[in-house]
Amino acid sequence: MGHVVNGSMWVFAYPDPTSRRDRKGPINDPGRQSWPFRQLDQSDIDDQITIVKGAKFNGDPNPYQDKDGPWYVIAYDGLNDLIFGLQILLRDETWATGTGANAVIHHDPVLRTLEIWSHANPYRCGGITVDTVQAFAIELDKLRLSDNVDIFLSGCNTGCRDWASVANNQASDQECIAELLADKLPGVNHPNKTCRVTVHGTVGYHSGTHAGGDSSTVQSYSEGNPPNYHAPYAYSGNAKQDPNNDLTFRGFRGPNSA
Amino acid sequence: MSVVLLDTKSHVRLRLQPWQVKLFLSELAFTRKRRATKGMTVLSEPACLITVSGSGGRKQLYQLYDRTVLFEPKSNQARPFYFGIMLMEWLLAAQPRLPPQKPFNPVP
Repeated sequence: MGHVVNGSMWVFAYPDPTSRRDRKGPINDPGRQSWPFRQLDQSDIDDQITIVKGAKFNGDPNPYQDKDGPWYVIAYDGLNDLIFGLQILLRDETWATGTGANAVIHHDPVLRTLEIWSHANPYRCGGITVDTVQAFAIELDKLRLSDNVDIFLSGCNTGCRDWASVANNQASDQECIAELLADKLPGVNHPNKTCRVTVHGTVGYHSGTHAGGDSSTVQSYSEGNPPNYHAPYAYSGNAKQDPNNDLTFRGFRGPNSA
Repeated sequence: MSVVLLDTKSHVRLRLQPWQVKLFLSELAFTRKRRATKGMTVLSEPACLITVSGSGGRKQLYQLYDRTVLFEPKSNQARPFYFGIMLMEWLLAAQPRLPPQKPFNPVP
């Protein structure tokens, strides 16, 4: 389990591979058409969670160096379940300042960073699609958010666009999933609400995670023998995360974001 | 024999014409002769679902990844399939043209 650091919460979430049904709620996904078609392998999940739990902050103060890293890890059954999990964390978690007789327990942390790790393409990531993005943004916006929120869509090509047509080799004029989510946050239902929300999408075929500090992307990807060639999307590139800068993601902000 | 494509973004369904089915099946037969890779390691989602219905109600399901990789969930086999580029073009042409959205403008 993670830790609240200075009142802020870092959450790493992934779709539960054993899930068969969603929790009932306001995010409607008839027939589970938005749920990922491919589930993460349990061995990959185990490896990645070990990395994420041991991860330290990049330059941020972490008073818990001797324990697990600050990231909370959630496996979710659907977007309603993800929102429910976030609500529980924001309600129950506390943090302390001072020591001995001067120790103070604080309540009500804020969500600083959410990373969703899933199989993805430019139009789908972890249950977020064109169909569910509006309802998900509304529910996310109701949570207690930090002044500067980062949302990472950690799957392949979530920050790239598809091609309009291969024949003319031009990028599509339709927004990718990171852009769609960024357009709606913050204040999708409350236009007066404002804070900085940056939705980050990956710049190519992705491996590792931002939370684990081992994120990397490649423009095109080959696997197997004979090789299965996964072709590049528009605006894709090769990058590798370093401790100070994560160029494997590109950020998007909506019109209401500070 | 009928072939139906389903776009996973817009849920648009396209039933291929007989001349398209003929082309697709010949490419599929050629592809299926090639050696396959077990599973896939890439964190990608399918852009298109393909249903091939044969005589007697027998159905074969395929998933098309990133235009160029054909995956058969039943056998967990993936094969290179460049005809997928053509399938995606047909699927795109069958959909109503959406108005252009915002220009691509990431945070610097």
